Amino acid sequence: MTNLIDIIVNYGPSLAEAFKLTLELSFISFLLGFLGGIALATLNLLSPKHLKIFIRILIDLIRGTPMTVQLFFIYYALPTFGIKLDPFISALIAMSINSSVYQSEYLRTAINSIPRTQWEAALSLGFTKFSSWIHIVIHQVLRIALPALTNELIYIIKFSSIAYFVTLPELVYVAELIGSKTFAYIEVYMVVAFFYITVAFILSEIMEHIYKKLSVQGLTTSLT
Amino acid sequence: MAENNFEVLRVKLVMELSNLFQTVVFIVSKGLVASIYLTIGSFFIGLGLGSIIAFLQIIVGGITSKILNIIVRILRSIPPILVLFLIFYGLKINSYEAAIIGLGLISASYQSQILRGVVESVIARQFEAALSIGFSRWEAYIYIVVPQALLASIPALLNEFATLLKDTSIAYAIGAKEMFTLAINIANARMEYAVPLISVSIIYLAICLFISSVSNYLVDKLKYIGLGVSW
Amino acid sequence: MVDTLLEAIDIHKFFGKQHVLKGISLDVKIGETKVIIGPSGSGKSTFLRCLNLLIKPDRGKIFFEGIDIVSGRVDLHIIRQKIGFVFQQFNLFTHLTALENIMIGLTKVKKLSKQDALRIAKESLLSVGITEDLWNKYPAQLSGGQQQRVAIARAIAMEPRLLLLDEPTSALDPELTVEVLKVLEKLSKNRITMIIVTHELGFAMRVADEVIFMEDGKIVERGSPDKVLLNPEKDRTKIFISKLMELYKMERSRA
Repeated sequence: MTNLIDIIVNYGPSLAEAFKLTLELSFISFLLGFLGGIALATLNLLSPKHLKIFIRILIDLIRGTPMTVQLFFIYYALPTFGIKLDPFISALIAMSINSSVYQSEYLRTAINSIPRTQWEAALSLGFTKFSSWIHIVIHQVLRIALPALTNELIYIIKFSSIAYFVTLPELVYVAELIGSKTFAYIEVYMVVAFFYITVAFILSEIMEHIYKKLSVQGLTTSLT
Repeated sequence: MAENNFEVLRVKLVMELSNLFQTVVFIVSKGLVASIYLTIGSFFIGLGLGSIIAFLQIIVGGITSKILNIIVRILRSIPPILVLFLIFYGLKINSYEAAIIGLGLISASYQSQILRGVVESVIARQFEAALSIGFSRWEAYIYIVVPQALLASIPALLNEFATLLKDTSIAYAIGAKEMFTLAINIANARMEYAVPLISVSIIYLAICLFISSVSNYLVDKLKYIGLGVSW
Repeated sequence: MVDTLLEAIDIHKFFGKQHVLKGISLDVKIGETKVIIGPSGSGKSTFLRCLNLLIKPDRGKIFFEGIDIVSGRVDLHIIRQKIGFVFQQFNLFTHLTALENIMIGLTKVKKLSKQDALRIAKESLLSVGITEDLWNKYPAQLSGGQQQRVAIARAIAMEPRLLLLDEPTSALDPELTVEVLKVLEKLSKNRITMIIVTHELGFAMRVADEVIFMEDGKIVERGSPDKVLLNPEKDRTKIFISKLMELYKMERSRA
């Protein structure tokens, strides 16, 4: 156990640095994924049939393959086509695309749960389909989808660890490095696990709080 | 001259496609079975452990349920790679076993919540009715709740299976024998990543699409007995 | 002809193989109140939804202010600004307060300033009897009757030329029906042009300029309230009216 304290004292700063990188990668990916998800969901909502099929194929492609494969492709395979990207950007792109697809699916589920009558009421007032979406329905959808989206954020933070494979100095990579130097693998891994667990728990609490604040009786809660 | 270029391109395309095809066949024959066994192994560990956790949370409840809840949340916040590393380096077992146990534990945390959700929703709808007919509590669980819960949870569990299959690719980190590791080894040997990656993607895609069409089919059939997903 | 606001000619609608509307024709002049009655499944709601093009008719023409709105060459959302629709299930926006429900159409569709929108919204709410203490409540916190009155206020705040109402009181408890009917009677007396689908025969007697009886996708009989409700010509009309009367007698005796 002296090893544990050793680790924290000697390698605390480098771990913190890696932690920062992990969080940066995760939050930016989540944000880009969110914007992408909304764009995809909007396209899916308003497109004619043939475009919807194309979107469906894209979504199935990303959902049917592991994120690791997508990451490896962007970092290791794209260079053969002339596109060479650094580890951070590769991980960012892979995770953003992956998250966009999943977030668009969560949004789609939420959109489907909005009764058709809300759309009809908006259309009857003179809104176009697009402005009904932007001004009315999307506000309901985001509230409903909030729990799924927060889970996605926590999931991304967790899975940012695959950037280990492309030599990005995020938490798991740095942990292995420290482990190979000190041979106290288990201790480092446990410290790192602690980082992840803490972030997940704190975020859950924050998001639960936000969800409660934004809840509207009758929309996100059942009518008493 | 233009015709020549076209011919060259066509030949190259055919070559690449047959290369792709050969790689797919190779990976399927050498790695698919290992990946499938890995997935099945961790799935059933997850199912078994998950059922126990769900059972404890529902039947015993109280503090036990709260403690289990925290354990589940912890398992769901740790990156899979880390879990695999901890088990592999910690327990000093071979990589294949470490992968099954590690992925199994993670899957258990997800499956316990799926099962718990389904059972609780079936109980909410059917338990009182069963009691009113005269079933004892245990009979109500065994004859009414469990059968329906099993059927209703199939789509979600199939989804979990597909997710597990994709997660097995992480076992590359500890060098386990499965498709993705094989694909990367091929890529390193040939110094070329695109074809092996696309090949293995095709295999993952084929299996996942198959699973989701089975799942959709079952969801349709389940609607007839009132167990559809409520949109 | 100048004062004919809406003219629907020979409207047909198919849902799959089902022939739901079999040639409905109707016209409304400015200031008139038309009431459509009939059994469920007769196509009344479908027809009403054709009038503001929430449903597209398969055959027939609809002229609104002299313009053919079915042909597809007009911007539907602009037409819909001039036609108000009140739904059976109120359909208030669940995430907005009563006041916000009214204001959103005014600010985002009619592009009014926030002050103007606020002023008009408050006036509309007061005109349907929704007092200030309810303005910041969410639909889930209001009674059915209150929600429907807010829905009516939302529709009339847009200053539509025509108001369509689809069984506005059918989802309400009997006690709450009265307050909504009072509001509608006031609107009718103020010469707002309306087409209402309803079961409320007493209300029809009081306000309708014409009553139209629909059954099985066709108009069976039409005429003044006295004629259709008290002295129907067709047998089917007689049967329907007597059934409704019985229902009302039973309800009254239970009260």
